[in-house]
Amino acid sequence: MRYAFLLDMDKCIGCRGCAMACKNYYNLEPEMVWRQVYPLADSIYPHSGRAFLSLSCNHCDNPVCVTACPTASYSKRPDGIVTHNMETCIGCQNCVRSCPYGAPRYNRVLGKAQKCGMCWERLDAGLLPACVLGCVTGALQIINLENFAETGTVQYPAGYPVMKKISPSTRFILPKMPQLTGVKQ
Amino acid sequence: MRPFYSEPHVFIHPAAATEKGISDGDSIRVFNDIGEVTVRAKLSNNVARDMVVMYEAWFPYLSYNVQNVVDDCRSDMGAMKTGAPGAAILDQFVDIQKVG
Repeated sequence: MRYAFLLDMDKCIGCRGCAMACKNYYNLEPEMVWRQVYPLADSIYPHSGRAFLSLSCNHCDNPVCVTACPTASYSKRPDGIVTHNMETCIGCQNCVRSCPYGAPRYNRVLGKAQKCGMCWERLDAGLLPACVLGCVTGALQIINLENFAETGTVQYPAGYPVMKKISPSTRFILPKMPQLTGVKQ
Repeated sequence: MRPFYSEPHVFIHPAAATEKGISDGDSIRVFNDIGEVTVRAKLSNNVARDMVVMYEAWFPYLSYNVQNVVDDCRSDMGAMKTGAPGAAILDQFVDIQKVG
């Protein structure tokens, strides 16, 4: 098993349901988010404001947070999930500065870093992550990279940092431009 | 919702905005006989040239409420369906003006 997120950008409507479900489930402080939704720039997707990147932790193959943390608070599970241990975190923010995807965020109230753990406690119990459940269009899914057919998906969509050594596990289906049907063009 | 939608917007077609001397991010007064709201302009070709769009939502610490420009006229079938007249929330005519 190698857990990863799959985002079908053709289905995503940018409702922030995934991010809000995450925030609700973990009772995050008002300013704190573990998942955020970013509209694509017009230069990337010309149908203005109609395509989005919903991003949290990418649970990378070679996570920099694991190597950057001085207290070994991060670990990569055999099933691919990168977890963070709040008990041993000293709030130095090395992970916040190192992650090119901005996944770990500093919680000012607790004085510690936090990030998405792909709801590992839910996955272990046979449940889906909160964000996946919160997605109304089915755009956000969990896949197993070990038997996932990558055809038609990309690892680095435009607007998403290319980090080959780190190799993020998230996969994307690119958005298509809408077509007018029944209209002669 | 604050981390996801920090403030309300009024979506305006770029051509309509140019006519009114409005640029993206300007503070805009949206008004009609009912009332007015002040929101930031977001230029977008997703709306028609003669339309503006504002979302209904709640924003803490802001006086914004889209209902301030909505005329609550009585619905025609409300009494039959629910026993009370009810309000028909329809599109509204509004004008826009750059603030300051």
